[in-house]
Amino acid sequence: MNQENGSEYSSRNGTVVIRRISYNLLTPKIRRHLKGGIVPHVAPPVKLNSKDIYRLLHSYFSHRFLDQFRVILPLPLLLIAFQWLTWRHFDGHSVSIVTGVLALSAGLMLFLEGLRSGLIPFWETVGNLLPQKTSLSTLLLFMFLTGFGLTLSEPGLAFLPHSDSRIAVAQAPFVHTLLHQHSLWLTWAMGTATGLALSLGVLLLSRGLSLKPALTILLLASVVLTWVLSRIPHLDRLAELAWDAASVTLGPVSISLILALGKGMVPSITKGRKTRLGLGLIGLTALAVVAVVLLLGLIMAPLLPAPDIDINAYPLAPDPRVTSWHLSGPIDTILWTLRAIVPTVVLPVLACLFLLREKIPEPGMLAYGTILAALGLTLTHFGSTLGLSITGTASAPWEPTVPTQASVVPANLPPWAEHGTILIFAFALTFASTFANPGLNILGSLLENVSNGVSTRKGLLRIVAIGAASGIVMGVLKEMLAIHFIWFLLPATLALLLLAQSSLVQRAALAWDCGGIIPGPITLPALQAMGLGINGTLAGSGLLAMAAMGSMIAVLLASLRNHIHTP
Amino acid sequence: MTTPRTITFLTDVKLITCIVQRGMGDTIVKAARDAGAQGATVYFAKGSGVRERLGILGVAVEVEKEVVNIVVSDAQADAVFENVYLAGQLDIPGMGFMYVTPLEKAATYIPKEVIDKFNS
Repeated sequence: MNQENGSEYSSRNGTVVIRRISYNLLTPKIRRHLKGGIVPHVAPPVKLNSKDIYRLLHSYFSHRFLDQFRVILPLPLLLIAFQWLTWRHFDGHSVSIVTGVLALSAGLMLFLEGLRSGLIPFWETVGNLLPQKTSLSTLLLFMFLTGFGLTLSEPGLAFLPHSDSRIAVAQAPFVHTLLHQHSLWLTWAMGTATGLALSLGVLLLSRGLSLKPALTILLLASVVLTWVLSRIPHLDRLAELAWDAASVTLGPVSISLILALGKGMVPSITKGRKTRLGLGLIGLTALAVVAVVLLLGLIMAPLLPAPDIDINAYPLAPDPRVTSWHLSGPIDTILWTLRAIVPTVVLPVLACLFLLREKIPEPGMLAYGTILAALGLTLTHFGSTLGLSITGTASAPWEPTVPTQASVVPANLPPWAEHGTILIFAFALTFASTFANPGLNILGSLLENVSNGVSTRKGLLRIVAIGAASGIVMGVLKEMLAIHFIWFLLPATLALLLLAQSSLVQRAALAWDCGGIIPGPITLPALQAMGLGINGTLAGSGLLAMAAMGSMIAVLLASLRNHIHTP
Repeated sequence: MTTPRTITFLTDVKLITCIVQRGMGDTIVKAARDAGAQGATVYFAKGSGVRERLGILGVAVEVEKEVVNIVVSDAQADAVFENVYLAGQLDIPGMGFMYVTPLEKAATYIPKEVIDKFNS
C-alpha cells in the first residue's frame, strides 16, 4: 500500500488517510544559557477541542463503566429468576432495579477509580516512608491505631444484617443479645483484635519472618474455642457469629488501605527479602477477630443471664427496614460513607505531616481520589438498595415464612426441586457477585502489577468466585440438613492446614487475605435478598465463614497447580 | 557423531512497539494478531507525556502503561501498524504511542517443513 504523504487507501478498517510530518518541526527549540547550559523547557499545556475532550472522557468512562456493568447486570436478573421460580411472584419495580444497576455500576467504577488513582498511591508512599523515617515502635503503634480506628469508625457489624424476626431471635438468642445490647463490647474487642493483628503482622514482616505460624496458631486456637462453645447449650450460633464477623470486620476501603500500606512497607522493612506484597495482614486480622469474638462470648456467657427473650414480642416477618443491610435515608448513607472513608485519609495524612514531617505528595490527586471514592461508595450503597433488594422479606423455604402480600403463594415445588433451585441460585449468585467485590478487585490489581501481568486480576477473581460459591453451597446444605457448623469447620480447617503447609509462604498468605475479603459488600445483600441464612439474617449463620473458607481452599488449590503466581 | 545444531536467521524483520494505557494491551495484541502478527510480548511500565499537559483532564489518562512488542515482517508491517493504531484508538489524546524499528535479524524456532521449503 502507498504510505506517502497525502495518500489515501481503503482497508478493512475503512478509508485511511496517510500524512507525514517531520518530528523536527514539532519538538521545541532549546535555548541555552550564556555559559552553554540548557534552559529547562516547560511544555505548554495542551488545549483540546470539545470533540477530543469528548473522545478522551468517553474512552475513559466507557471502558470502566462497561466493566462493572457486565458484572452487576446478572445479579438482579438472577434474583428475579429465583423469586419467580420459588414464589411465582416478583416483588420489585423495574424502574428501581434499572436505576439500581446503573447506580451500582457507576458507583463501583468511581470507587475503584478513586482508590486506584489517588488513594492507593498515597497510602503506598506513606507505607513506604514510615519505616524509613520512624522507629519500629512508632510504626507498630501507628498500625495498631489504624486497625483500631478503622474498625471503630466503620463497624464491620454494620455489614452484618441482623434481623428482628421472631425466628432469627428464637434460633440465636445469645447472638441477638450480643448484637443488640452489647454491640459496643463487640466493636471494641474487634477493634483491639484488628489493631493487634496489624502490628503483629508488621512486626513479623520486619523481622523477615513468615506470617504462616501465627496464622496457623490463631486458626487452631479458634477451632478449639469453637469446639468449646459448641458444648455450651444456649450459646447457639455464637461460634458462627464469630467466624462470620471476621469476614466483615474490614470494609473495602480499609482492606485497600491495609493492602496498600503493606505493599509500600514491605520493600523498606524486609530489605528486599523475597516478598513484594505485604500479603497475610488481612488474613491475620480476620483470624484475630474470630478468636477475640469467641473469647468474648466465652467470657460474657456466664455474666449474661441466659437470654430470656419473649420471642412473641418480635414480629413474625422481619421488618425490611431493620433487616436491610442498607441504610435508610440518603443522609445516613452519606454519613456512613464519610465514616468509612475519612479515617482512612485522615490517619495517613496525619502520619505524613507529623510523623514523617513531609508534604502531602500530589495533594490534587489525593483529593480527586477521595472525592471519587466517596461518591462511588455512596452510589454503590444507593444502587444496591435499589437494585438488589428485590425481595427484602423472602426467606428460605424450609423456614416458616410470611410473604409480603397475602395473595402470594409459594410455587409448591417438590422439596428436592426447591432445595436444588436454592443451591443452584446460591452458587450462581455468589459466583457472579464475587466479581464485583471491590476489595478483591484491588488485591487482584496489586497482584497483577507486581507479577507483571502473569497473575491476572480476572484469574484471581474467577478462582475466588468458584471457591466462595462452593463454600456458600456447603453452608446452605448445612442449614438444610441442620448439621452443626463444627462438622464443616473441622474438615475445612484440616484441608486448609494441609494445603497451606505445602504451599509457598506468599501463596498461603494470598489465600488467607482472600478469606478475609470474602464475601464482601455486594455478595452480602445479594445473599440476603435470596433469604439465605437464618430467615434472611446472615449474622451467625456461618454462611460467610464458609464462603471465606471455600475461597481460601480454592486459591490454595489453584496455586498448587500453578494457576496463581505470587512474586 | 552428533548432528550439528543450526540457527536460521530471519531477515526483513521489523519491531513494532506500542505503548498504551494499562488494560489496553490485550486489545493491541489481538489487533496485531488479526493483521497477521505471530506473537507479542507485553510488559508493564510507567510513562509520562501528554497527561502532564492536559491539566485537569490528565486524570483521564492512566500513568501505568503496557508496552507491547510485536516483531513483524517488512511485508506485513504497514498492515499491522494500521490495525494496531486504529484498534488502540491512538488518535485520541493520551491513548498511547507507537513506533517501528528496523531489525537486523531475528531467530526463533521454525518448523522443519518451513525451513526445508524455503532454504533448499
